[in-house]
Amino acid sequence: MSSTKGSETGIGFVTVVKSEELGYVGGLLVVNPLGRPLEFHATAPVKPSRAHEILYGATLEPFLVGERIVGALTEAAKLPLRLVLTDRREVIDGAPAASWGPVLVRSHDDSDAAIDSTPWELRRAVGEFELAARDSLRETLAIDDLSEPFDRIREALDEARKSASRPATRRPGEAA
Amino acid sequence: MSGELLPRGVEGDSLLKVATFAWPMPSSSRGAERRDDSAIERPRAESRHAGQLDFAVDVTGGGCGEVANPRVASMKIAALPLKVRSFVFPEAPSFAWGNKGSDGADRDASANGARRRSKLKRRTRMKPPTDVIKLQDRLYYLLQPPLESLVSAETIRFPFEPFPYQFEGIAFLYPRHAAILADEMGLGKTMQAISTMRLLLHGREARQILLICPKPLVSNWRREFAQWAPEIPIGVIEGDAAKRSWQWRQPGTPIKIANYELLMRDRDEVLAPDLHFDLVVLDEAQRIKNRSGTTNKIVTSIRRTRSWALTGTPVENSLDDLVGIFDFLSEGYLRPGMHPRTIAREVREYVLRRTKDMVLEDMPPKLYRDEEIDLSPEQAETYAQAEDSGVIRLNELGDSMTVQHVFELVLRLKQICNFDPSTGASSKLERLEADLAEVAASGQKAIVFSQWVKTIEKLRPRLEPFGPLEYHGKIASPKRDAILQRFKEDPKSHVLLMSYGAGSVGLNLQFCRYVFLFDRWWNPAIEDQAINRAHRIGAAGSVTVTRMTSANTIEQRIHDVLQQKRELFETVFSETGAPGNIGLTQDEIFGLFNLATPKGPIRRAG
Repeated sequence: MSSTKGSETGIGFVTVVKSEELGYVGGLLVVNPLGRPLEFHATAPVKPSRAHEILYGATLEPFLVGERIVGALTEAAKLPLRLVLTDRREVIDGAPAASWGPVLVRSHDDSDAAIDSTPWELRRAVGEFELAARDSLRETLAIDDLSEPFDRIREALDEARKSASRPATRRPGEAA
Repeated sequence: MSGELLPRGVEGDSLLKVATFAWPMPSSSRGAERRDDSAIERPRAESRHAGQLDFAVDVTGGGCGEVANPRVASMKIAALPLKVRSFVFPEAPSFAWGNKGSDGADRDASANGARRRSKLKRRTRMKPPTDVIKLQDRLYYLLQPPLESLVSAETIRFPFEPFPYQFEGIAFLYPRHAAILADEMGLGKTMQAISTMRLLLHGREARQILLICPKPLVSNWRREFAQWAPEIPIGVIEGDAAKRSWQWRQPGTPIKIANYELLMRDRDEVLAPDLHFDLVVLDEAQRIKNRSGTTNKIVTSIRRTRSWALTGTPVENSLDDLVGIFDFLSEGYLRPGMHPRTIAREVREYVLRRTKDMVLEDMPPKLYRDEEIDLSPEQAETYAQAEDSGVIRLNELGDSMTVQHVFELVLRLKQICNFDPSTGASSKLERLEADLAEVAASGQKAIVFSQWVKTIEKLRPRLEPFGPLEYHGKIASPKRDAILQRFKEDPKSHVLLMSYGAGSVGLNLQFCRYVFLFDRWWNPAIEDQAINRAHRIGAAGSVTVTRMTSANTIEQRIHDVLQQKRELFETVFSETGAPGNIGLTQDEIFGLFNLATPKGPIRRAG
């Protein structure tokens, strides 16, 4: 695999998956304007203890997801991130005042997805900003359905989880 | 470091107990609920990942100052460990060939994509094959965007949008180093293969590709490349030896097209130690089914990284055909004599087979008419004499009888079913004339297939009213395209007479609504290929296939045996979707006449 040389910036899609068994796992997919993958970063599962849950209370998820996990993921990115999109509100709530200003993407129905805010607070404060950001993003990114890359991330996280236990199989092409 | 809630100087046992806790310190300002705890002196965290926060609470509920030293129980809440694993992928230039650089193409594609956004409901995603082991490689395929987005964003232009199953075919081929695309004829294997090659070249995952096809199909591939990948330079290996030698080593043509026949002559060139291809694609891959054949030996020896086979009929005669094709994918992966169910399990990952019934809901129907036609009195008399004397002769041969002897008798009887050799009488031809009159009257066109060029030549004079054209092995290759063009455009030309050999593969005649099988081929797979010249994508309407069989003859017996075998193999291959088309074995050919093979008696079929 060669490097990502050639792209000056990337667009990030970040999400966090929570499971009772493993806890929280985060994934950041960095794509080019056509949606092709440039980088993928995944955290190992993080499971807060009961003490964490009690002591952090309602702030646990924004802290853990928005700050610790997403913070670590975005720090791991090799390319400067022009924009980061997420489908988890905790990312918005817990994000530090970062330069990559997270955008929340939420599905309105099964067939379409739209940008709800950029960032969340700005949507609430200035309605016009939302519209401008949406138009701007659509000029930047040639992805029809903004919720789609999150499915890729979830599948990739699942793949990473399963890869350790997958038995090796024979590869016909190798013998050629 | 802890924030003390208690007055200093209190010692000894105390009713007041304090527990101290520590946990990671958030780096940014939090909500009001955490800013309100100003009564506790908090440490400054060094970093948000490593920082610890100590916390002290009065666990006794007490608060009186003068009593005694409180007991302090401390507990650290460890920072939650966080490990990040990173994968970096190659950024492929979007257009390796064309007028624009990759950056420009990206920007244009984005803008076009913005203009052309539509609500795409279908997403076809690549799935890494099970033989891709490395997680980095698996994630690379898994994280690719849906193929439909390429069309939507105009990253790569298609003359028209592929069908969903064609996207699935591309998604199947793209990540595979070994693959057989075995779609039924007419579903667009060519387009799927070309589009995937195109994506691999644009993605710089392949730089040198060799496509090998039968010689008559070279011009067809050239046309299809011009339509589906116009920006990709292709080179056809042809001409004299010196020119070919130069062409084999031309780096400027990422796709080279060679024909099977030529490989024999250019064996030394193509097998040269320093010649390597990123991908070798075999069209009509059943050509290498014979494992001991020279063609098989040569193609399996070509140095290559990826191996793809395209065929509508990976199993023509027996499962060993599939073994031969897998020799190209990976020698020894399948072995002759393996149990069919084992083969089905082993090949599942590497074979993609779809039929029209499976994928094309709006495909016009294909209607079969089995015409059982009685022989004319002259034919019947000749036939009976030939069969009786032939069987007697075979029995006389005893142990020296071979399948070739039986084969000769079968061919002779089949020819009589077409025409009486002495009088030229043919009840099939009479029926065909009547049928074609209807076809011509309705302004439609028909293809008539026969096993023999001689039969075609005999048919032509009687079919003159319908403007017949011929397309078979005796027609020189340079003239063939013109014949097809005339058949398509000349309103007076209603019938094309084709041999199975020349006209069964690679031709697009979907403007024909009628197909006549004047005689029957040994193998239903070949018949299917012939029928699918007309019944394919773009067919204007239903296609009526008339299978002409002489009643109570060898033709009917062959038909019955093949029908039984088709049903058997469809059952066996139902799991993988592999085709159920299969020909006659040696024993079955003997069985047509209730003969005993030199190895012992066998049951007569039918």
